[in-house]
Amino acid sequence: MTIDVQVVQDAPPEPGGSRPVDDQERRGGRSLLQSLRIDRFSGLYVLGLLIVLFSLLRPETFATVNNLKIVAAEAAITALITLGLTIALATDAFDISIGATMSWAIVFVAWLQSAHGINPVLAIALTLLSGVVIGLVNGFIVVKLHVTPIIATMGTSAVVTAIAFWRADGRSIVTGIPDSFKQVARADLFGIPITVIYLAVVVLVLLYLMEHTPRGRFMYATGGNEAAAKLAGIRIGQMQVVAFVISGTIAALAGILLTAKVGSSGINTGAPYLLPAFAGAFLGSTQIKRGRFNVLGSLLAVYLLATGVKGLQLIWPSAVWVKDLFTGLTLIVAVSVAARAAMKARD
Amino acid sequence: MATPQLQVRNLSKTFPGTRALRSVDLDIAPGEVHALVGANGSGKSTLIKILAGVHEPDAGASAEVRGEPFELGSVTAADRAGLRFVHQDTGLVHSLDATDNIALGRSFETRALGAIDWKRQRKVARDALAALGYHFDVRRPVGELRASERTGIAIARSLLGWEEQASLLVLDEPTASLPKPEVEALFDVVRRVRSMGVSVIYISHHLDEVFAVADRVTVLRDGEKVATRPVDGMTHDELVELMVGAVVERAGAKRPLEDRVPALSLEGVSGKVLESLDLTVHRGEIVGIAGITGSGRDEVAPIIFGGRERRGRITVDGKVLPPERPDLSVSAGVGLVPADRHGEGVILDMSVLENLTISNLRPYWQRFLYRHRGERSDAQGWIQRLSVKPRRLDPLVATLSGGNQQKVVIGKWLRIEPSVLLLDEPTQGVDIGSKAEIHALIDEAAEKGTAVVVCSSDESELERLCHRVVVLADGHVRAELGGGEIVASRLTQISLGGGQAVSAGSDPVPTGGANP
Repeated sequence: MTIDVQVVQDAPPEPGGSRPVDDQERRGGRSLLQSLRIDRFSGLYVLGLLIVLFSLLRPETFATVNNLKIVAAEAAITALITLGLTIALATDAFDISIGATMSWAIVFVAWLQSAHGINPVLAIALTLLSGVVIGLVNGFIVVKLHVTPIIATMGTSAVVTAIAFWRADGRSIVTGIPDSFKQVARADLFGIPITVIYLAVVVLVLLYLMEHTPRGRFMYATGGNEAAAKLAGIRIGQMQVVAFVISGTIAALAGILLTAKVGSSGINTGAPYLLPAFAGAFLGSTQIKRGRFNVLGSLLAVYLLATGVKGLQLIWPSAVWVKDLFTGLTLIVAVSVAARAAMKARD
Repeated sequence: MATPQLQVRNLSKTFPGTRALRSVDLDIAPGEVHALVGANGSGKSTLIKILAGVHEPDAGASAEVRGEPFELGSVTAADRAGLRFVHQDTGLVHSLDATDNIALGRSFETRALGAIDWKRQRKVARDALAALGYHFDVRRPVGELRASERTGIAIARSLLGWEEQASLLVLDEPTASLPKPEVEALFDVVRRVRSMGVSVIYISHHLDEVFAVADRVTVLRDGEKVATRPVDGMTHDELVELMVGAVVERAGAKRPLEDRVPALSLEGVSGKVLESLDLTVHRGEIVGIAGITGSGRDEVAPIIFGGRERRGRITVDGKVLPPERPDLSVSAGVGLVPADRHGEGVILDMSVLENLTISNLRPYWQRFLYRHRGERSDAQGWIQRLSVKPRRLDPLVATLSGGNQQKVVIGKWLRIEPSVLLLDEPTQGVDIGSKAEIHALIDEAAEKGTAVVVCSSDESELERLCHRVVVLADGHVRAELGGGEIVASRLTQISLGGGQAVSAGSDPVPTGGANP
C-alpha cells in the first residue's frame, strides 16, 4: 500500500496561517430569524406549536404526563422502524420490505415461544437473526442479481408475508406468550417507558455509525452518487448490503417490541407501519441535515407526526381515519418540500 | 452557376473570451455531398449549431436557401427552410419499433376518433426506409437492429416529407458509433439521399470517409475557412495539411526525466476498441493519450482503473492490479479523474469537504473516534492549495462552477499522493483560468513523483503537459512522440492518419518508449 496518510495530513497551511472564517460568521451579528435556523429546524417549531395548540384545546387529556408517556412509547416503535429505513434510504437502498419483515417478526417471536416453549431471550435472538437474514437476502438480490431495490424488496415483502402467514397458519397467537417476554416492552425505567430507552440506544448507535465513522460517510456517498462512489474506491455493494441488514434487523426489533407490548401476535400487523416510516424518513430529510436522510431528522419527524395524530385523535375521538389522512398528507408535503429544497440548494 | 442549395456569407460567432468563427463563407451546391472537416476547436460544431438555430451568429452574417433569404440562428427558420440534422446520438427510443420512432418525429396517421391507422403508418415507415434502401421489418424494436439501420431510421425520420420540404441534411459524425463493416452501408444511404436532390453536409473525423463519399470538402481551422475544394484529385496528406496548417516548434518542451522508475505498466491490455496496449509510465512522468473519437482513447483511463471490463496485465509499483476492482486500485495508489464529471466525478449533493476527503478517511478515524476537526483543517488546507472558489467547505459541490468542481475531484486524489493518477479529459467544459490552474496541479503532482496519464481530445493540452504522447487509432498505437516532437498540430495530423513522414519509430524517443 502506498498511501502515506501522514504526509497528506501535514499539507502546508496556506500563507497567512489563520483558519478562514465562514462568510456568514464574518459578517458579524446575525438576524434573529437567521439564528432561529428555520431552514433546518422548522419541524421543531411546528412541534412546539402543535403542543401548545393541543394543550389549549384539550388541556385535561393532551397536556398530561400520562399522555406524554403514551405518545413517547407508542411512537418509539414507529421511530425505530423509521430509523432503520432512514439508513437504507440514505444508502439508496429503497427498502419497502420493512413492513413485511416486522409482520414476520411478530409471528415468529410469538410462535417460537407459544408453540415450542423456547425461552424469551433465545426467541428474541432468533427473531433478530431472521431480520439479519432478510436484509442479507435483499442485499444479495439487489447487489448480485442486479434487481432495483424497490422491486427486489417488493418481492421479498410478498415472500416474507407468505411465510409468516404459513407459519401462523393464518391465525393470531394469543396464548402461550410468557409474561417475562411481555415485560420486555412494558417495563418502566425511572418512570421512562422502556421502549423509549431502546429507541435512545438505537439513535445513539445509528448517529455514531452515520455521522462519526468512515462507513457512514461511505454509505451517504453511495446514496449520493453510486458511480462516483464506486470510482472513489468505495465498495458500494457492501454498503448496500449493510444498509439492508440494518433496516431488516431494526424492523424485526420493532416487531418483537410490538408483540411484547400487545401481548399477542396478529397477521400482517407490521404492514401499517410502512407508510408512517416513509413519511417520517422523507419529512426527516427536510430537517436538521437538510437534503439528506438523517437520524435526528427522522426522529424529530416521527414525533412531530405522532403528536399531530394524537392531538387530532383527542379532538375527534371517533375519526379513525385521522391517522392515515394526516400521515399520507405529510408524506406528500414532505417529499415535495424536499424536492424544492434540493432544487434550491443546487442553484 | 446554379443557385446554391445553401449559401452563407460572412458568418462570425464570438463567445465570451473566444472567437469561434471568423467571417466564414459556405456554399453547398444542389445534390452534392459536402464534407466539413477541421481539428477540435476549429469551429465545425459552432457552424452547425448556428445553422440549426441553437446559437445566434454575430451581426453581419447572411444566408440564402435555394435563393430565398434565410434567417440564421432560428430553429423555426431552419425547419421551414428544410434543413435536417442527424446527430451521432440518433435520439431514437430503443424499445419502440421503426414505425413508432419515425412517427414520433412528425405525427401519427390517424383515422376517425384519433385512433392510429397502423396500416398506413407502417406503410409510411416502410416507404421512407425503402427510399434509403432499407427493407427490414418495421415492427422490430429499434434496439435489436444494427447500428447502421438505426442511423437509417434517424435519417428517414428527418427526411420524412422530403419531396416538399427537405433541402439539406446535416450528418454530424454519423459513423462515430458504427462498426467498420456498417460504414459502407451508410455511404449507400448518403448516396441515395443525394440522388433525391437533397444536399448533404457530412461531418467526420475519419478522412477516409470524406474521400469515399464526399464531392467537395470545406476545411475550417481556428474558426476560419481555409479552403473549399473538390475531393477528386486531392490526397489524404494534402487534406490533413489544410486542416493542421504548418507544424510549428514546441515552445516549452519538458525536461527529460533523470531517473526512470516504472510506476505503471500495461501488458497486452485490451478493451472494447483498445487492442493489446503495452505502455510503461515512470514515476514523475506525464504521458498523454491522443486519438480521435472511437480510437480507444476514451477507454484507457477507465480500463486501467477497473471501471470497465478488460483483458491483459496491469501492474502498479510492481503489484498486479485485478480487473474491475476500483477499490483495490485506490488502495494500490491509483486515482481516476473521470471524463463525466457530474455522473462519475463528484457527488453533487454532498459538500466540498465530503467530496474532497472521501478518497481516504482513515487518518481521521482513530480509536473509534472521528476527528472532525482534523478533517476540516486538512480540507481547508486543500481548498487553499487547489484555489477552489468559494473557499468554503460546506456548500454542496453542485453550487460550484465546473472548473471548481474539477479541482475538487483532482484534489480528492492528490490528497492520497497517488502512485498513478489517471485523468480523462481533465479540462473539458472548464473555463480558461481554471484550466491553467488544473494544468499547474498536474505538473505539481508529477514533480512529486506521481506517474500521470492524461487522455485528452484537446491536443494543445497534451502539448502543454506531456513528456510523452501515445497516439491511438482503431485501438492500436499509431505513434509515440516525445520531447520537442509533441506539437498539437502534429498530434492532430497523426490522429487523422496524415503525415506518414513523422510516424512512429522515425526517430528515437528520448524519454522512453512503449514496451516492445
